[in-house]
Formats: sequence, C-alpha cells, structure tokens
Amino acid sequence: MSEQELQNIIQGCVKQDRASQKMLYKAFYGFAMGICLRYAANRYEAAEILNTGFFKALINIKKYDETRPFKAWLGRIMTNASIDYYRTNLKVAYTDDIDTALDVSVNDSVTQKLNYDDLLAMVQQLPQGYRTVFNLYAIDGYTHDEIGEMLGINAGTSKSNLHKARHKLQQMILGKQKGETGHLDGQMTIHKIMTDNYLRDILRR
Amino acid sequence: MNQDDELSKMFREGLTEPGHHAEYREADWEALEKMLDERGKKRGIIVLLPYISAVAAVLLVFFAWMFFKPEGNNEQNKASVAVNKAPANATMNEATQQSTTQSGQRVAANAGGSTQASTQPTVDQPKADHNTQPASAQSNLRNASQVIAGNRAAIAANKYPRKGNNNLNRTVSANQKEPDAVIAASKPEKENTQNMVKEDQPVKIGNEEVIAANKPDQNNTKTAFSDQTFVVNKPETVKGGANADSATKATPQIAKQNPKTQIKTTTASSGTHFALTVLAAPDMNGVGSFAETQTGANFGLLFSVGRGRFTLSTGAMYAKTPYSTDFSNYHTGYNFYTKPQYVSADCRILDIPLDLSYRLFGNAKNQFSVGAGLSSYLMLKENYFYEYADPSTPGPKGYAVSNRNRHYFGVADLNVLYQHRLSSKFSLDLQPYVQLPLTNIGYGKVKLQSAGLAVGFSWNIK
Repeated sequence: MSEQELQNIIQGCVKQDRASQKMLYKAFYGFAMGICLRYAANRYEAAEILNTGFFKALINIKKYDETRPFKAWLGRIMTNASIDYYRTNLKVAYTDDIDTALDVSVNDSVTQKLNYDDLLAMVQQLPQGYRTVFNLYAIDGYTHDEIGEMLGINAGTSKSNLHKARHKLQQMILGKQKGETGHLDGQMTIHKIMTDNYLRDILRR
Repeated sequence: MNQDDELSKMFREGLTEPGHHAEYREADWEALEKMLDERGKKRGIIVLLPYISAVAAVLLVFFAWMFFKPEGNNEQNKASVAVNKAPANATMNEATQQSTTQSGQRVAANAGGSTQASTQPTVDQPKADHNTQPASAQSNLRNASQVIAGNRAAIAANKYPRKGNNNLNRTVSANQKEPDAVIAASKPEKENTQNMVKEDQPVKIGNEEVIAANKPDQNNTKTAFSDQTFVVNKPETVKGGANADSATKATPQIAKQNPKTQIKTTTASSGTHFALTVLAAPDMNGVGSFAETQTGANFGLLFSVGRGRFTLSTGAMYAKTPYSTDFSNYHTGYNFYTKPQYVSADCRILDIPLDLSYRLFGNAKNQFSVGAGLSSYLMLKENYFYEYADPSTPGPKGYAVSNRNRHYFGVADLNVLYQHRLSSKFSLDLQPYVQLPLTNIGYGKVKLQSAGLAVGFSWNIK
C-alpha cells in the first residue's frame, strides 16, 4: 500500500466511512495481530485486544499526526490495548510463582534457534504478568520505570517479573530441547484452566 | 552479551520479524463493526436523550393537568354526558336535560343526597319544568309508585330515613318497589334539586348548603361526588325507563355507595400509609453540567411512609454510573509526566436517598407530587480510565479503587412524581429527577450530577 493510498484511507476513516475503516483494518490486521498475540494467551484473547485497539484507533483517528509513521502509532495503541487488557485481568496476572518453577541452571544453553510459532507459544504460556513485562521490556524496549508506571507497579516488581519470565522461558526451551515438556505442559494446563475459569466468570458478569 | 540478553534477542527477533503475520479473519472485522455500530447507536441515544426527556416532562405536565384540572368543570361535563346518553329513556324530557347540564355542581351534590327524591317528579313528568312545585311532585311520585308496584324491592329505600327529610321519607316508603332503571332517572332528578331543597331546607343558599343539610352523615368531597356522578352515568342503568319512582330509588343506591368511596379517599389522604417501591432508572451523568453525558442505570428498593400530603421515603439504589470529563475536572495526588486529556469513569454506587415529597394534586387514581431530599453515596467501585491526547503516551491507563469513598448526605435530590394507582394495593410511578452534588464525589473529587427518569412499581402496604 502506497503512502498516498494510506492517507486516503485514513481520510475516509476520519469521515467515519465504514469501507475505509475496513480497508485499514484489513491492511494492518496482520501487523496488529502480531503484537496482540505476543501479549495474549491465545488467539481468542488476541482478537479481543486487537479489536479494542482498532476501536480506539478508529474513534481517535483525527488525533493521528500524519507526519509520523502510522504503523508506529497503531503499534503503540495495540500495546496500550494489551496493557489495558492486562490491567483488567490483573487477578490472574500472577497465578504462577517462581517458587513452583523448576530450577534451571544458568549454564544450560537456551540459545537454540526456535521458529516463530515455538517462540509465540512459549510467550503465550507465560503467566500474564510475566508475559506483559517480558514483552514490554525485552521486545518493545521500555525501561522498568516506564513499565512500572504503565502497569501501576513499581520498577522492582517489573524487574522481578522479567526475571521470572526469563526463567520460565528457559525452562520451556530446555524442556523442548530435552523432550521433557510433559511436566511443564501439566503446569501450564493448570494455569490455563485457572485463567479460563476466571475469564468465564468475567464474561458472565 | 549475557544469556538473558541472548534470550531477549532471540524472542525479539523471532517474534518481530516480518512474514509471520496472522491470517485475516472476517469474523474479527464483524465483531469490530458491531462495536462501531453500537457506539453510533449509543451516541444517537445520548444526543436525543435531552429532547426525549423534555418531551416526557411536557407530557407529564399535560397529563397531570388533564387529571387534576378543577373538578367543577369535570362534573359539569360528566353530567352533560350522562344526560346525553339517556335518550333511550323515553321518559326523560329535554327540559330535564337542559337543567341537568346547567346544574353543574348541584347535580353532583345531589347525587348522593336526599334531595333527589324531590327532583324526581320533574323527571317523571315530561311536561314539567324544573320549577315544579313540591306538592305536585309528591303527588306524581305516589302515582308513579302505584304504576311500578311489583317491581323489584328497593333495598335503598331503607336508607332514606337517615336523610332526615320527612317528605322524602314518605315518598320513598311509598315507592319501595321500584324498577332497576332508577339510576338512569337519577340523573335528571338532580336538576331540580334547587326547588326541593328550598322547601326542605329553607336556609339553603348554595350547593354546599344543600349537601350539608341533606347528607349530615357524610363528608362530602369533590372526589366522592365525582364517583357518584360516574356511577350514575353507567349506561346499563338506563334500561328500565325513568320515572319518579325509579328516580327515587336511584338516590339511595348512590348514597349507599358514597360512604365507601369517601372512607377510602379519606383514609388515603389523611391516614398513615406505607409503601414499598421497586425502581429502575436510566439516567444521564455529567460533571459540572450536562454538556457531556453518559448513560447509566439505577435499580433499587424504596420504603415510603406517608401522612396527609407528605411522604418520607428512603431505601437503597444500586447505580452504575459512567461519566467522562475533562482532566481538569479530575483531582488526584498522582503526579503525571504527561497529563491525560480526558478521564472516563465507571463507578458502582450505593445510593441511599432520604426524600420528602409533597402531594400537589391527587385523587383515588392519580397523584402528582414534588419532592426533595438528600442522598448518601457509598462508592463501591471506581474505575478511572485516562485518555491522552496522543494515545501512544506511556502514562498510566487508569486507576481503580473500591469501598474507599463515602459521601453522607452529599447529594441533593429533586424530583417530580406521578403515581397512577393500578389497584388498591399497587401503583405505577414515573419520577423524573435530578441529583446535584453538594460535595465532591469519588476519588477524582468531581462534581458529579445526574438526571433521569425512574419507573417504579409500588406496593401500598397500608
């Protein structure tokens, strides 16, 4: 899509033209979903975050500064939508604790090259609190102070969550390498059941 | 590069590299489209809500006026209608109709009184005008009673002695057996009230004196008269034909009904009464004004104690109160790096009102009151969401607090209540209201105000 085409679509969105909105949605669906998938536990959650983010983007499209890259603006909105989702579901953010995790030697190699699907699956298996901090720090490049302010936690908690997230990712990678994913899968299944039950409760309200 | 950095790099590069975009799903767009449509509808409702409220208020005032306009006019109208329905009755003459129409309140006053008997000869005698002399009237009554003898016995005849009118007593006793058509005849009977009353009650000056003289056992009220007239108007009572005797019968029947009505009315207006009301109320919430509002909802239960025209009510209302406001109206101790532009709030409030209302108008069916009072707000949950001018600003997205703020008698209530009685026990309430803050509300210390229309269902316990 050329820059001129994009500007035309955005102008249509400013006028609340539904066709333009759909074109924008389709054009940036993959990009935005890529962000949301990292912050979400599954595709269902990711779609929910994605639509929340796009909704905000479309109703605030007048505020978009055309001199800046649209992708960066939209990406920020998606990240913020993910954080909002995290805050909404704060109760399940720390259902897993490092004490229950397997001890992993720092000498173990975790640098084996993994493909996108493997990496995404591992990040999605992290507890929400860890996943959010890991995404913000390791992938999106925020500092712990910024993360603390964004999530309403202090910087120390952010660092702690990042450490725990890395620890768990190391476990998963090692488990995958050693073919010992059974135990970890069991733990993650329990966590997922807890999360799903909570989400169902929220949806019922 | 340490192991943590390697791990982060691996995930960063692996998860952000292009070419791994998720496949587009039409279902996701449909979900978003639904969200956009709902927002459009919601905005439409919010834009229209002030106009809808204005129309509702005008209609309410109009209906209140319709129900409670001066009853003298109503009585005149009703009397006219009653007579106009009577043409099926062959014995009713035009003079009677005219005089009935002209009688106005007098007709009503006589509906339950003993003076009716004296008026009946006029009804029975088509050629007689409403100035017929009492003596001839009684004579006519006797004749009529002979003609009608054999018809169903009039229960009401036994009530005549209580009226204290000897002439009437005599007349009625002669006419104990009367046809069912008496009620129809009772309408025209009324117009000659003046004549008979003059004879029976020489001191009579106006209608009220007629009432006092003829119905010592009753507290005549306009409401009661209204009911009487209403009964008289029943078309089925016209069947048997009107004559002096039937007219004679009609009066006691009506008189028999009146005390019940009067007692009921008196009880409702002067005794202590209690009621439970279930309320639901959509409302608009704004900060400082209603320029920018969001629609909320309230549900609750109220208990009312009333005496005379005053009613004291209290209870509990659970309110879902969303609002949005400029950040300048929001107060917080948090030091923002970049201040948000707007704050959207979604609060759950337990509203405990204590209101006193005064009944302006009312009859057995409808009441119209105005009320004022104070509400206590117990803030159960407060969720605040910050909106920045640049959505990508990395500031706090919101703040939530529960059960921290309470504002006792912190809100003024003003309301208008229209109550329509569905039965002796139940009634339907419509209550436009405004709630204005006397203190700053919630964590954000905002001047939160609400206006809405409550719809209630009341159980009148006593």
